[in-house]
Amino acid sequence: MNSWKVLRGVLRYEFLMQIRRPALWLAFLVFTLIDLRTVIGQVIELRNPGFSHMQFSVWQTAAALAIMTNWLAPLGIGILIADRLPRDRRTRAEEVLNSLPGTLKMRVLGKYLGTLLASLVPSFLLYLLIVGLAVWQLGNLGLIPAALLCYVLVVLPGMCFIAAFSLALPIIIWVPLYQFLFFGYWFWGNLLAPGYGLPTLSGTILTPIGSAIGVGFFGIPTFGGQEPSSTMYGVSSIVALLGIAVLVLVVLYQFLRFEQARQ
Amino acid sequence: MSLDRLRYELRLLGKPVFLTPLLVVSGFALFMALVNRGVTPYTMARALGASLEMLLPMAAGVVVATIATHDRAIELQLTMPRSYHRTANARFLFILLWSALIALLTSALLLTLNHWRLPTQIVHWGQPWQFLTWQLTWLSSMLWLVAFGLVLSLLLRSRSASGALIGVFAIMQVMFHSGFDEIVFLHPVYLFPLTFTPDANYWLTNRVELLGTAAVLLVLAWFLLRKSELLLLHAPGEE
Repeated sequence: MNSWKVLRGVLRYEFLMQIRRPALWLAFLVFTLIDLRTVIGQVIELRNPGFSHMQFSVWQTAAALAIMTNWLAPLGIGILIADRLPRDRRTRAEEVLNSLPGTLKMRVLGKYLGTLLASLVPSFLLYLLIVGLAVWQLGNLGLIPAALLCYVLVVLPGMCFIAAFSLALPIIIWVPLYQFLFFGYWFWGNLLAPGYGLPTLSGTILTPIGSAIGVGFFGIPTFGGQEPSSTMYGVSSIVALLGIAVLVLVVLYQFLRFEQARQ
Repeated sequence: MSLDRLRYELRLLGKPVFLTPLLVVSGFALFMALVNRGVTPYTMARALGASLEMLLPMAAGVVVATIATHDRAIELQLTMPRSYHRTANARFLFILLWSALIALLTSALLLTLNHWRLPTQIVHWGQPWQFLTWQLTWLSSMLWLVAFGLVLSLLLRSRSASGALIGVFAIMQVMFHSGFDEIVFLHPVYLFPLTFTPDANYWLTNRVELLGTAAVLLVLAWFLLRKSELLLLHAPGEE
């Protein structure tokens, strides 16, 4: 069977399976309530004349909105992707899939893309809601295209990064332990200010929340203060996040192939 | 519950349930030891206290949400004379007691090593009352989060969504701790005052209030566990 057909079929099936999970929508409904509570005040602040000393351009406002919305959504995406491969094993679907034509490589890639894209749907809708509020407050329609591009530049690389780890690591780590470690990592590696006293990945190019990309491309302030602001810094963050995501998927594929050969 | 039955339940729970609290506490202590560049005794005491107040209860909450109410043979169990709620309660109690034992031993170790951070309200208390009251630091948070995890897993019938919501609630408390400190009506659900506001003059009240709200959640869970129809509900895409 053509590999691309397999990829398309797996992607479609995984996408539908994930997007039809009530748990996904329920989790994001709660995130929306929390985000609206926390972000709305900051969106209203954008209109405040006292806020104008920061002189945010449209691009900076869009990037700031992307990061503000992104503090919570990756948690939901990571947790809801984490149980996909262990579930296949527990329901014995993996054994059935192994007996079917089609390559393991395309199955892994299809599962990754399908679950990631489906999980991004509620996250993106939440972002559009926040952007809509900001457009309404600022009366600037130019914010919409800027916000869409900022979502691709600032949010997606980090989402690809965490989705790859969340798909792969539960193969060797018990899912609840992975969930707990993921929460710890998210706070430590993204939200903890570098000057807090603990060494942290926060503020480095390996910050999937997108703050390094935001400061590199748009020069917006991040958690814990300013970092060097150069476009190369943002580019290196995108390359590092996407590169590691690809590497993790390759290792996952090799691990599953090794396990399949052992059976 | 017979000893054989208990042994069987423990085998069903599996090694990860035993190892998770140990890994959380020892892993965090190891992390602190490895990155101790610039870490003072004060920050060490604060961090280790936080591992008992925040990390261990969070881990126990996620484990309870995943384990306590899910059973692949639940249809079969519901046909037996023994009520399912007794099985679920046994699992819940085991996870709680095991995590509590780890927390108690760790707090005794912290006291011995003098990495001991006290809430201002009990600084001048004598021993053993100070040590015993300090145990409320982890006990109240843990009981609250495991009760919350139990209720979530019963209502949502999704391990992932329950785990996600417990984690998000805990991270919200970390991110917006000043709000939880300042708004009085949020005190009964403010889980981590020792880590963020050890000078709070409501520390003891907060710990007791948390135990009270946890008791309310446990009563709700007790009621839900008796609803066989609810236990048989299966959310699409979940296990």
